[in-house]
Amino acid sequence: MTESNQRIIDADDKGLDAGLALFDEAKVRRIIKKVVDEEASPRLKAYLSTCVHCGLCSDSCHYYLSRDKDPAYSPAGKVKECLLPLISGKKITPAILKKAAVVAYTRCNLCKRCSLYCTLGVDIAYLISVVRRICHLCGVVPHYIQDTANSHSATFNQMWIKDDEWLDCLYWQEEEAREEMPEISIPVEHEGADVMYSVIGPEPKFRAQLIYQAAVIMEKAGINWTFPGTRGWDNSDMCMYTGDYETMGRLKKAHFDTAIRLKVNRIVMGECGHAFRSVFDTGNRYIGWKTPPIPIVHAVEFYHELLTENKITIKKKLATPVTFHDPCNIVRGSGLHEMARTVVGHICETLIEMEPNREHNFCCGAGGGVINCGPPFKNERVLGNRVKAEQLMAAKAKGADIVITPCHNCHGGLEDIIQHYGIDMEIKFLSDIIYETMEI
Amino acid sequence: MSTIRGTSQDIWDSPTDSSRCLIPCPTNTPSHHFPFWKITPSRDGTRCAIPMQITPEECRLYTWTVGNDTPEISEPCLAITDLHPLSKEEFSFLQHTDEGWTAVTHQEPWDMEAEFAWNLIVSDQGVTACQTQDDRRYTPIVDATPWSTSYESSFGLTLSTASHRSAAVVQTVPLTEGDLTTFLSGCFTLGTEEGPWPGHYIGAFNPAISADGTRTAVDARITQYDYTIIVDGQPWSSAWPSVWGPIIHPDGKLVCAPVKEPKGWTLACDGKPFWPGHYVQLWEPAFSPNGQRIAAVIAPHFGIWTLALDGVPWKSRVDGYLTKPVFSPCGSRVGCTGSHKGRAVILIDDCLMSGNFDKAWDPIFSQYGKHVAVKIKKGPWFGLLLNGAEVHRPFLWMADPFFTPDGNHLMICGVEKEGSHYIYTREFIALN
Ligand code: SF4
Ligand code: SF4
Ligand code: SF4
Repeated sequence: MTESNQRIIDADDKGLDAGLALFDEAKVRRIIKKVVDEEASPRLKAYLSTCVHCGLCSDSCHYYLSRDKDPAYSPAGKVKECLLPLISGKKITPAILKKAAVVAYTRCNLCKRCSLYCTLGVDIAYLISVVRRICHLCGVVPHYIQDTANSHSATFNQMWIKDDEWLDCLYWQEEEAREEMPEISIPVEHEGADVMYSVIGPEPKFRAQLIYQAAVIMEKAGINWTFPGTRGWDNSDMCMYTGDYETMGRLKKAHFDTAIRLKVNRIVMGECGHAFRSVFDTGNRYIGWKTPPIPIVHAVEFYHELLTENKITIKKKLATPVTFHDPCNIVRGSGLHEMARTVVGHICETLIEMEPNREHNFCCGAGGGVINCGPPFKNERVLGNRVKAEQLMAAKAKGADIVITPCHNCHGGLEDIIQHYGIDMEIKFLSDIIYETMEI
Repeated sequence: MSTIRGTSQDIWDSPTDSSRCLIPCPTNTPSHHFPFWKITPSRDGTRCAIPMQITPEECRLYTWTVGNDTPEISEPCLAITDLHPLSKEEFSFLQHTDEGWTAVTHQEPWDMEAEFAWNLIVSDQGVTACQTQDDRRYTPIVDATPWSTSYESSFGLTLSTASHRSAAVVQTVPLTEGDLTTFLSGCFTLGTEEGPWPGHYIGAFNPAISADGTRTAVDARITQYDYTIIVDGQPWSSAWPSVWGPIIHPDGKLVCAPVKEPKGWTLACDGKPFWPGHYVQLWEPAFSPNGQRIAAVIAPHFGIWTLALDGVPWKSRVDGYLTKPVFSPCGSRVGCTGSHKGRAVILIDDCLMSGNFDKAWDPIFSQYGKHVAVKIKKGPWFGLLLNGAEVHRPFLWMADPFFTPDGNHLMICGVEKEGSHYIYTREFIALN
């Protein structure tokens, strides 16, 4: 028994256990057949028949590198561990399904770094997503991320925030902001505004200051903007990662319907990577919109516009040297790395690059819903990303005291790595530094 | 939360001469902060109101009557939200004071002081309802009368168009974070003033209520993998992996909803597939007011959208999106708005119109469908298309246009700027 396998057997998770307690092989087989024959795109067969198991992608995966090159953590190795046993036609046992779920949900961030290095263009993240879809339909999903998906389903946000609590938070943040700028307002339900600003659930719940900061930035930049006052304000989407695509579709419809109802010209979304993937690519397509029905821009693009078009003025750049963590979903997913560096150049005196960087950057280890699988898998996650710690330590050694990343999940992931590996670094959003350095 | 305009004759005995009033920008409000987009005309357009946040702690409702530049000013409060036209000349809104939140209708606050109130809605009949929360219990209130039961949460409040009845999704079972078992056993259902349905569902969404208020429906998640439509507490006999919200026929007899079949999305009626076609997507169905026709937005191919009328797709196609179809009062005409190649479009009776505008609002038809008016926006300016031609000078802000019940005039209410003043005007276009 390998150590890696032992960790799967030992994985103690209420959600997985509850689903496995109802294990019925015939049902699991029906689900696999449905997913493979009816739902999966031709890419599934193409990738499976194309992959020659050459292992060239192995060194691209932070899990493989951090786990001392254990083949079980290589991209193709993970496919071999979680997908192939389900579709091989051989007997499926609860242990096989558990292994598939643990590998798919907690050992791959769907970060697509490996795809960059596969000369045949195999998209491992897609193959892992197929396993997650099967696990969702079998009801074998880690407890914590399933709870987040349940919150999405019931409340249309990921934090169980009720409709009045969202509005209350906006009014409260407006009051706070007015203490600094008496004339400021946080517009709610402004039909016809230029911009609808959407955020993810943790902002009103844990980081309400980001709402206040956004209001100050919008105000100083003279943006005609609004928050929605209804469901549809949260752009995040853990259902995309659990494999509950039906709920994902409902979430995306609510988000875009809100922007259409408010007659805005575009949606600006806060600093989040996975939500961008959902609204810009996966979620919108699932319900039939080839491209987002309302133009949507990530905060990085928006800040780039504000700074390069002189809509806000920076009074003094941040003197503390910073490094920048490229979130996969907006960098490999949408090529925003140079824009992000232009933004950093406007607000910080010194940028110390991590190596590798830009589209070659290593994932933070939180993405793809892995951090949302919660405490049972935290250790697996931080130990699976020693390479990120090494990247951060090297940047620290060159003088970087702050790591900036425009993604909530990356914040969570980097926070855990910094704590676990004892790295003395602060983590900030771009908006934190814009707010600190701009003329108010 | 946009302006709802009634068409009933009883709100209309206004003359049709144009008139205006001056809305001075309060001196301590920078001009670019003046929220003219919050200006709300009364149903007959003779009055307009705006909540003005004078200081962080002081908000007042200013109400002007056309022909008179002196506003009526309400008592101060902490905040005013959800301002709507109520009857011919009056408004309803939510008001926050030191005592709590209340609704105000006919210039009288309701006898309630909730910890929080939101989502105020007004029916064509002038019935006002809102959601309230006190001590973490949620209670919808209709014309100052609270529902008989309060809940763990409530959302999607809706009013019938021809009665005082209301419906909302309610959470009857407490749920704590991380409790997957209780979640899967069902915590949500539909409630009305008389109480909740007996059944509980994993999720309930998009409540609908018939015009007379006697029938109600929701779309519900009945297992982790199945959705169906529940009508008057009874689920349809089939379930699907996905459905969208139901609509109830104007006479209350039929309930329709989009359902996802293995071949694609189609429209089901009373539990059975009803339209022959299956599509990549089908949503936003609507009955004509006389109930004889149904239209819905469909995607016949991935990324391609049109309307289908009575099950027959139109030929015009767009690549962006389309909004819920709107019928003329007589049901003979139907249209919607949307986008194509990144430009706003208007789609009426299978004719696609795009042009020199950036945004378009839902088309508004005259009683017998002879005329159609569409509010548009070009850059910062609002304009008006009447039967496809631009007919009015631009406004800084404009309410939805309104056909007078006699069909002889189109009323336009809007805001312009003169120096440091905003001018509210009510004007009429004579129709032939
Ligand atoms: S995914 Fe590509 S690089 Fe990796 S083993 Fe397969 S063929 Fe080789
Ligand atoms: S974590 Fe990233 S690099 Fe590793 S297998 Fe998954 S997608 Fe590939
Ligand atoms: S959390 Fe950040 S780094 Fe990790 S996958 Fe998401 S975007 Fe990438």
